[in-house]
Amino acid sequence: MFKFLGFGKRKETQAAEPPAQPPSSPDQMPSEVSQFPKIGDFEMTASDLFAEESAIEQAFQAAATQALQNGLYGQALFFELVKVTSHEQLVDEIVDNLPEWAFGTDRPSEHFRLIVHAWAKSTTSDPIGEYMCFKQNTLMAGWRPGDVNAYWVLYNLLGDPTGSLEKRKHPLALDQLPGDIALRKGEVPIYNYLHGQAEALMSGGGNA
Amino acid sequence: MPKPSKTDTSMKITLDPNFLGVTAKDFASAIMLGQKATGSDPSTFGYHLWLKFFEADAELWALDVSIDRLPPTAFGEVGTHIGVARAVKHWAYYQAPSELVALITFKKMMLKAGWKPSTINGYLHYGERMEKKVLGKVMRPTEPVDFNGFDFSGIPARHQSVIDEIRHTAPYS
Repeated sequence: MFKFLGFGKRKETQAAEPPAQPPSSPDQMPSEVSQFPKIGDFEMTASDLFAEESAIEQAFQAAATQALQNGLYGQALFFELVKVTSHEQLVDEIVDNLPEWAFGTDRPSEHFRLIVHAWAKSTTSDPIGEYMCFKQNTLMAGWRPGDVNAYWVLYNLLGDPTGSLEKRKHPLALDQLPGDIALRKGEVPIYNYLHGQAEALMSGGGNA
Repeated sequence: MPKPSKTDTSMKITLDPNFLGVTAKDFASAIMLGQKATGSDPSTFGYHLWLKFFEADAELWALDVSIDRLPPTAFGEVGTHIGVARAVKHWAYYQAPSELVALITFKKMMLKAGWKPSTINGYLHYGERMEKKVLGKVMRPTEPVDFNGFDFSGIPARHQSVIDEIRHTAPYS
């Protein structure tokens, strides 16, 4: 199901091994830690991630434990893996190839995209920091790494066609948005948090 | 503080014409044409659907986000081979009339090779970030790609098919 043949690895499709069979229904989150994905399900090794095998295994288990508590597996796995490996591109690939239940059915919203990018621009001073701030906040809201990178590739190429990021007067570009902003369910708590941070920033405090 | 007034908690992973920025008519047409082009090989559905929505002027970010949410069977799980991506990118970017045209050309061929939009965007993002870090700038090819300089032995058939297709073509001639 979550078959990933590995970056650079050459596999003949005719000789491909059958995919690992998930122990539970493919449409829902497992009910036990042992039934969650493991690194071996992705046909890549810890060495591909420049990490110790035990650290990678622990990251997968920690993400599963968190998901059983709060139902958010995809983002949990991302944040656990980046603690133990610096190969973020492969982490993105693993997480982007998780089953649908790992992220739920929400799709990212354009309003949240602008809000978070405005915040990243308001609180960081270099392009990598801007990307990391954007990615961290959007993933916490339930976005996938692929959603982030799809936007970032286009942004680096085309900039912001609306000009809202440059014209903004508010750290979250709220002055550039309509009175009713449309967010997905997972984006709301992150928006609320950032709004509090923005208020603190504008009043001269805060720990942005 | 402005409160979010609409939170859509019932949204399923289906294609949404409003999210994609296309009319209902173009939406239906793209789905129909994509299914028709896919024919009996479901592993090419992701590619064909992306192409038809691109041709319908779908918003580019929404397009990748939507196609990435198709099931794995829509891409065929052929895996990735970095050498193929490197060759195709060189071919797509050499003498491209614009960066955007080069990006779309590269993306089309890698989708055809069985890559998902997320894999393509990750390859582009991290590759160019590394170039900026190591070389100070993003590199663009100044010579035509030399396909003989790559070792394509053992690559998946679908990757080979794309290499064969572009090997003797110059995309912007």
